[in-house]
Amino acid sequence: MIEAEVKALVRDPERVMAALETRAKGRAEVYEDTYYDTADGVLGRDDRELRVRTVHGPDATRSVLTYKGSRVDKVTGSKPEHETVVENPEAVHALLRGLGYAPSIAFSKRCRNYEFRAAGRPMLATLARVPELDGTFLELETMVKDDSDLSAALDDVRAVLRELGVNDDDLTNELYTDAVAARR
Amino acid sequence: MSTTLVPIELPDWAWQNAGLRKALRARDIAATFRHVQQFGHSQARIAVACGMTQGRVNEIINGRREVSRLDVYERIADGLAMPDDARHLLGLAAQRERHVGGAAFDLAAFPEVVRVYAAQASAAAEIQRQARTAEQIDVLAVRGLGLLGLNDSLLRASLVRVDQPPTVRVLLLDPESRSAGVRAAEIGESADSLASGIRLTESKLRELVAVCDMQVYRYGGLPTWRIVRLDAALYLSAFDAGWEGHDSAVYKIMATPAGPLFRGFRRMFDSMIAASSRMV
Repeated sequence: MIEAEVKALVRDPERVMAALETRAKGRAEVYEDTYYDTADGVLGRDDRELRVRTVHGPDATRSVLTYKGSRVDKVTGSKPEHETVVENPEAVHALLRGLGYAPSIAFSKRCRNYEFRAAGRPMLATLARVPELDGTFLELETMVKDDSDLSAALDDVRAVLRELGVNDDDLTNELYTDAVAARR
Repeated sequence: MSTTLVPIELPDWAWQNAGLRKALRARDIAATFRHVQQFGHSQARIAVACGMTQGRVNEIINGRREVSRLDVYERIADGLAMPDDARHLLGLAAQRERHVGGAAFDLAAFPEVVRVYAAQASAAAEIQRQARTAEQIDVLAVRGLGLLGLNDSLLRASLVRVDQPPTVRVLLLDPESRSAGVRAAEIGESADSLASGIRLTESKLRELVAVCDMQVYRYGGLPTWRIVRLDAALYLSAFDAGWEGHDSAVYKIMATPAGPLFRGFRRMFDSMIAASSRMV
């Protein structure tokens, strides 16, 4: 699966949140993300990501292990993604360390998630704040099966962002990991 | 697709330069960019920070194009990480008000209470899981038998680890205090029974001194809050007359920049430690 995702800096968070709340009920969650890499940083160099995420939500706390390949859309930074639920995150952390991976960066992200359908696709919108970064961000994504649908999906995602009041000039493809690392 | 998450950052004093302030007051972006270049930032870097093409930055600097749109001023102010007084010279609102929406929006959209449990029993599995890897564990309890004092207490197994032993601070009610008598009456127990429970927990915690950084204190006030803090997550419940701590509903509170609850309870815990006598 490919995550067709567009991220933007939100200049008027109250208005964008109000627009999102008309589409779905927001679910507040805190993500604790740990990114792993080899000692010589080969994953980062290849623009790949290996992440253990623990999601603290209103109904459950759950963890997922995610691998993202290098980007297939340069403009948005969309990447092929493989993700699975993890029953025991400590075991996965230990397993990755045992295999020679080390945590490269860890940070928390405070999110408000909205799931809805638009342009005939299931979409996930995430309004996010990262303590080290100024500003509120909005990520909008939909999953596509392969490359052939990626460009159409990204067009749909950008159209929905415009409906939510996000200006094309405010789109960004910078990774949180890079931005947080630059701030530290 | 041009906005960068990492703006150009000039030293604070740079924004005090009289020439730069005059340029900002006149909304003269060409002169503003030339000042930024003096700090070693290229047109390309300015372009990335401000969400423009390099060609556009070049045109502005050379006076072939003027900036007039408010959203472009906003992008430039953000891209150059202008302090609020510089933003005001440009006629813009303070940065935090613009992008973050203020503490009220922040806490309404991203509340620090992330979950509510009906009682400790429903939070137990999660507390136990998180405790296994927590580096710092704080506990505020009355006698702490359910949390720490018995071999099968909630947190006890998580304190004995192969590596990375945690720092554990435990505040228990002073069994000799007047409050201990009051609390015993509130829950219909004898003062002796409550006091011996507290002493049992103290002695069971003393056994763990060799395996982790264990600190146990006695406090003297009337038990009100019950706290289990595991690094950045704090589980909060309360004691009341006829109401045992483990029967109380539990809030899971996560540390956030603007959140008063996590901050306030952490400070209260630290000040109780400072005012208490250490037993272990």
